[in-house]
Amino acid sequence: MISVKEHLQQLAQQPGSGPLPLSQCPEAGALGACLILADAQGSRIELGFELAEHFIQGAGVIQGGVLATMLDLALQTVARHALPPGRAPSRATLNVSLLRACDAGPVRAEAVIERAGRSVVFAQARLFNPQGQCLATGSAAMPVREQA
Amino acid sequence: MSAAKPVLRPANQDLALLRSYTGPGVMPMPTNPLAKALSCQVRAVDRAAGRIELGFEAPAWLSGPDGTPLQVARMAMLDFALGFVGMPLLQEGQSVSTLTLDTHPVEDPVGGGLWIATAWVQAHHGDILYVAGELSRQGQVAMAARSSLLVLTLPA
Repeated sequence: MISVKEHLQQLAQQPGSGPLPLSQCPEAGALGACLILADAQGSRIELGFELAEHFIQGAGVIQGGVLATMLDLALQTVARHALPPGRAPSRATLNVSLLRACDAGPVRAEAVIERAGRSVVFAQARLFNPQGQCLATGSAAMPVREQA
Repeated sequence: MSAAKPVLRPANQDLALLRSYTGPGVMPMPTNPLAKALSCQVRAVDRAAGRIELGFEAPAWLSGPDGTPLQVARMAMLDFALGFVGMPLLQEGQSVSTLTLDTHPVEDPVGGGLWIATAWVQAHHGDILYVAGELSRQGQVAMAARSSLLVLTLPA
């Protein structure tokens, strides 16, 4: 099965070849995630999500923990895009602000690299609804580890 | 919990059910689709101390091959506890909405079955509640979090 890194490289080299479903990642599969964009510089990605109604909580909207996970996935993906093959991000901190309620359906995530050092990658991400309104923002510090 | 939404439901089923819990014992809390999917249950509420303990079991479609809940399920478990812990402090007609959520991993427990999310109120200043929590399996803490919650007054 093609890896996420190979998907990122494919999109970076052939910008029109997306969206690519990230079916190799169970997390992405549960959230209906696909890779929409990966820039040639290794510093920016976009993901698309299709949120099912079973992620709705008591107020009738998507739960904040689910939005945090989408931001986390976008941050991990852009870090993976920035890192060379054989190195991968892990999790240290995730800081999320929830700006607007999110309904079930399509959501788009953008993530950019703030700094990709040898030991730690810093990145920021935002979620948007189909109207282009920002739903949530997130930032993370991701220690880099050697991939087995 | 979720980000603020201008129009909220007039009745808060989560609050009503939490208030009905007298303990000790386990009370299922199937008040919404996600809580139902995760088999959410109230295991303890200490109103005086501002503390709550919830239990969860992730279904197969929200679990990895070894039964460990996916990140989205673990984050949702913790977020439920953070959102629910302030509810006993609310007055009639109020609800809460999450403003910020900061998380970090602690250990990496593996496996399915019962996962426990515990949360406690750290401070209550005006319309803002500051809460913290942990998610664990068999006593091993997997993830910790802090959150700020906005207290909302629901339309009459």
